[in-house]
Amino acid sequence: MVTRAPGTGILDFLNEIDTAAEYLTETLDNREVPAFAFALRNTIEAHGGLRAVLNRAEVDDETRDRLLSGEPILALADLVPVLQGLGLKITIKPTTE
Amino acid sequence: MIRIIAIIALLAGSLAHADWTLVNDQSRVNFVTTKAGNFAEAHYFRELSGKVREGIAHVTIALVSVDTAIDIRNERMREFLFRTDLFPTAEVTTPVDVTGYEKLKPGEQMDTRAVLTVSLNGQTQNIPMELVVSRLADNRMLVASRKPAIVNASQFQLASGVEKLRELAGLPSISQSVPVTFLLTFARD
Repeated sequence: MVTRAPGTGILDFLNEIDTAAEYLTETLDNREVPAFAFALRNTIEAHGGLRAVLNRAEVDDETRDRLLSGEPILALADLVPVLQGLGLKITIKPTTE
Repeated sequence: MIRIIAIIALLAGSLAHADWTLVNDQSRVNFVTTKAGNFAEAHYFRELSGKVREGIAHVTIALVSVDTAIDIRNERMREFLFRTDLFPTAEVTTPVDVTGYEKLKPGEQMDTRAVLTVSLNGQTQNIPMELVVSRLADNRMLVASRKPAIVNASQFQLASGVEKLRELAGLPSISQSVPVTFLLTFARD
C-alpha cells in the first residue's frame, strides 16, 4: 500500500496547510472518504508526523497512545484533535451555499 | 505630421506591450489523480501552445497529448474523459498585467493572483489562482502556480468520465478532486 510517494513531490501541495484544507474539504464535499483519509495521512506526514501533530493538539494520553499504535482515525472524536494539531477545523454549513 | 505621431504612438504601444509566445518544451500543465484511496499519480500534457497579446494570455492545451505514463490509460482518458473527438483542446484565458511583469529585472519574481477562464469539455469555469511570475531573462518569463487549483471533475461535467475510467480499470474509486499545477515559460517575440 502506498501512503506517500517518497521524493516524487506528487503530494507536496499538502505541505501548505491552506491547500491541504482546500483539498480535504473538496474530497469531503464529493463524499470521497478514501481520498480524504489518504490526503489526511499525507498531510499529517507533511507536518511532522502523527506524534508531532498530536503533541500540538489537546488530546488525552489514552487517545494519543491509541492513535500512535496505528489505529486508523475513523471516529470524529479522533479526527477533531488531529485536525486541531494540523491547525485545521471542521466547519458545518448548509449545502445550498 | 499627425500621421507620423500616430505611427510613433503605435510603435511605442507595441514595444510597451510586446507579444510573448509560450515555449512548449519548457512548460508543463500537471494534474494529480488519486485512485483506490491509496495511490496518487501525477500526469501532464505534452503539447501546449499560447500567446500573451494585448494584455490577454491565451493558452491551449492539446488534450490528446495527455501523458499518464501508461498507454491504455492515455487512450481511455482521451476517449472517455476528455472526449477529444468532440473537444480536442482546453482553452485558458486571463487578463495579464504585461506592463507590470515587464518591469521585473532578470532574476526577479513577484507573486500575483489571476482568475483563469477555463473551457474544457464544453464547459467554461472561472478558476482563481495564485501565481509566481519570474523574469528568467530579458526575453524569457516563467509563470507558475504558487499552489494548485483544486478542480472538481463535476465542474466540467467530467464526473461520468471519471466513473467510466473507474469501471474500465476495475478500481474501487478514483477521486473527483484533482489538484492542477502549471509552469509556463513565455519568450518575447
